[in-house]
Amino acid sequence: MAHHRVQQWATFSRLWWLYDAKWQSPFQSAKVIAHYLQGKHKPIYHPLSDTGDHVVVINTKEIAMEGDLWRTFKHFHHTGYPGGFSETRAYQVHDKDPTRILYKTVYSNIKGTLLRRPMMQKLHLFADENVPEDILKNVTGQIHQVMPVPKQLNEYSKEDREKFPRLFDWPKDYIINPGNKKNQS
Amino acid sequence: MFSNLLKSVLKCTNLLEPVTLHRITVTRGRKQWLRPYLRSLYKRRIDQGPEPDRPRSAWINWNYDAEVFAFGERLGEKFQDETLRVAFTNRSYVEVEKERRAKLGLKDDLAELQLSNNEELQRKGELLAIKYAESFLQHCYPKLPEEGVHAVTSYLMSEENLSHLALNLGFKDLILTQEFPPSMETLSRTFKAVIGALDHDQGLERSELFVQDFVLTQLVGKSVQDVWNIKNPMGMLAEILEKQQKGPPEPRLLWGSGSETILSTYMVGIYSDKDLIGQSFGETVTIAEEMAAKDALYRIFEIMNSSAPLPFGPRGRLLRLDVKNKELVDLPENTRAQV
Repeated sequence: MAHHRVQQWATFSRLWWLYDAKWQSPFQSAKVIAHYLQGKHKPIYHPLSDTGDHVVVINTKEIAMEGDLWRTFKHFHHTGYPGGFSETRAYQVHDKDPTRILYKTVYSNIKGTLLRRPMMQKLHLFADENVPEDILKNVTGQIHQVMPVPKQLNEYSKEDREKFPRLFDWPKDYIINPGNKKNQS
Repeated sequence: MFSNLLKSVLKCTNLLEPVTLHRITVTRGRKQWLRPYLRSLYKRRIDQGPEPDRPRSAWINWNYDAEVFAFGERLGEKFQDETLRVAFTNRSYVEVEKERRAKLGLKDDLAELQLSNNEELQRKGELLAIKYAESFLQHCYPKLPEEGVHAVTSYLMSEENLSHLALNLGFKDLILTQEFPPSMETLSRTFKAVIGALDHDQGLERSELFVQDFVLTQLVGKSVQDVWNIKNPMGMLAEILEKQQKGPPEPRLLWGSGSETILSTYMVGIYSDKDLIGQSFGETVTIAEEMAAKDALYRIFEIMNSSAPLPFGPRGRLLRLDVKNKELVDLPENTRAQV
């Protein structure tokens, strides 16, 4: 009897996921985030049932866009009044609010039903890793990153860098960075 | 042609009878007085009050002999008429009958009251049923401890369960008692008496199969988990692991979600010697821990919901249980036949 109650509670429980958006494409991330927000990863999914989970996204200011999309991708807005149309480029939007691009992308990935707004309320976006403690305590698991994050040179240890095979080495007196030009002092 | 037409017209009309003029007026299909009349009838019936609860024998075409015979036939059992009548007769009825006959002026020597009540049959039937039920359960769940077997048997032999069975098998019309309608207690006692009657007429084997077919099958929709409410599961688990010489039970949080919200869920696992022996969920960590301990116990006793179903019907007929050597555990008062 109690087992059934507890089993049902667990089946319909709302989970909290963490997603690190560092160096991830917002468009690809949004697909995955929207998938979890709608609850499509659960076998009990139904579009009318409120089966979606919470997603906490960190490092949204570190998102990466392909090619020159920062410059060419535009967000459109119309105030509703005549002459109220405006378009803002991605880098401008990002400067003003680092969470806005991801918010808009996730919003457009969810189907336009009445449940979209409550789902967006369950999405918690943070520009960096400073997340309030009470939200972090709720988190259950982590969603895998969409794109592999390359390891930077400074993240390798000194030993690994020295061990790495070299084809050749510059002579010691060779100046790699000449510094200032001759005419300039 | 004209003359033929005139002849046919004259044939139709009888000139000797007077012609009646029909006054055609506009009428309603419904009668206006009908609704108030029906409403008045309804109100009068409601004011009189509900029909009093009467036994079936209060109406005509009640043949008690035929009904008693039909009862046995319906169950597919061959009862002896006398035994069955005794089984249905309760002590209160005997006393009432004596008083009634005394009032009517019937002397004892003229119409001797040869009604014996069903108490002995009741006792026999109860003992038989409990013994068989315990053996059956122990056979089906070999790892279930006596406490569990005892709990399930007392549930099966409870007043509620047996009275429900009795009502649905048509005992209500056949029982002879002082009170009407017969109480749950009377129904359950009479049911036990019928088991005793079957044992008296057909023998132990047949009555045991009766118990299997009617009493034990009440477990079909339920599991032992629902019936047996384990108090202090963690303590019981610790005792069992100690006896088995395994490590003590260590509860660990496997995962938790929404800790700061009202919809929090936790999953706790119980470990013994670093082996996971049970896990379950809960709204709080305490509930999850208790459920996990219960889960561990269910796995040890092999009474999971995924266990094989109980053997009834043809499979039940093939069972060979060692009932005679079964020792009865003391049952609580409510299942014992109260004289």
